[in-house]
Amino acid sequence: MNQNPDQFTDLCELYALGALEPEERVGFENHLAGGCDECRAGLEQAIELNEMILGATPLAKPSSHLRGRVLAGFGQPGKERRRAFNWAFALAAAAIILLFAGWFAERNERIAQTIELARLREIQQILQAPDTKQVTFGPQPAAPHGSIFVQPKVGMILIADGLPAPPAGWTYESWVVPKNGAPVPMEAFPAPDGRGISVLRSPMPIGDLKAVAVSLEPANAPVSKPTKLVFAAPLG
Amino acid sequence: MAVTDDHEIAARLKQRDANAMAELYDKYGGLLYSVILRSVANQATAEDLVQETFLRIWNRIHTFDAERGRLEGWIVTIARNRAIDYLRSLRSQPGESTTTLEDLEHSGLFVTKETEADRLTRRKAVGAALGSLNEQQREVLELTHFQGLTQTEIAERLQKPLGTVKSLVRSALKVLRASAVGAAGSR
Repeated sequence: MNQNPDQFTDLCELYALGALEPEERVGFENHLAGGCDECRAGLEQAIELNEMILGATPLAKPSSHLRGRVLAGFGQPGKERRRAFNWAFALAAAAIILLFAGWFAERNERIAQTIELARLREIQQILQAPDTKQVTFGPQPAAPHGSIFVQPKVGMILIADGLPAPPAGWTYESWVVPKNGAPVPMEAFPAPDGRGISVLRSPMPIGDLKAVAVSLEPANAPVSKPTKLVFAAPLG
Repeated sequence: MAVTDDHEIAARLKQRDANAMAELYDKYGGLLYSVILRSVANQATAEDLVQETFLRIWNRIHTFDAERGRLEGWIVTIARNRAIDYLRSLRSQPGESTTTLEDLEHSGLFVTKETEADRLTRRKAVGAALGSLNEQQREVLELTHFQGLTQTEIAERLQKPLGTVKSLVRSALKVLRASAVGAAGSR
């Protein structure tokens, strides 16, 4: 890049922080997109320095219930450590839970909204990008059909309709299928009334993908390959 | 030790092993919470954002190179970016830099090129160097790293000339960079 070494390092470090002014950022990104190895290496070093600065943050202790909250979303009980059963403790805990049940419900609703908001932001980002392309699949109304919105930089959104109701204990899983290699699981998603939306953050360039697929998988179980393939929609 | 453990945790997360998520939380939950809390300065908000961070890790783990990637660096960056996104949304500039921050979560930028011992040495040196910064340098670093402000925004907030702010940021980063490079060279 046409900068002296100090300016170049500053630019990498400010970009790594997302702290460049908009016009500087666009210039740097365009340069990076040109495949400059020197800038790429500079950026990696800058990111690592940032990690070290962030990693030096004095540790604060989160509340004891945060672990349970976080892990509950992944099918984990979330207990911090095993305790001997204690009736007095159990009764006190039950009383507290009853007292604060309303407060917890409201709070959980807020958490769910926060997560949903983040997801909606991603969906909005993909749908509003000027270079997003739409690929349709499954023209027969009776079979699964819908659209895939492809935004090369951010990811893809799969919107599927006509999905049969999953058997009890099963859920839908979205996959990306590379041109070479095994399908990669993306996310489990619900499909009430046969309609489902899945956000696909591809682990590889979208040009290297052959298709997007949906399968049925046992709920809350690890997935490595599609168990019951429902459909595969070609991307090209 | 930590790197091997992290590689194993990442590999298990890719297999959707929820126990690996519990191990990840036990190992890094405190750090992620601390980074976010330092940015947003509110316990309830920090906890919401920690939850969002772990969800994002779970959803994006397939983009991570479990064999060569630095898991800690990747997840700390995700946590920091969630906090900055939140702060920017409060400042009514949602989306303005979202793409940039997401680009910086690209896992290919977090590749291990040295031993864990070397990394720890450099990290300690950077931690020590942070303590050697003067008050003004620390202030601008807090605003760039934990508040996500650009240099222009810092100049406005501190009511200082932009040139002064740029000089402070540059000199602070130079001290930290030199400490990291010096520590690597001393081994």
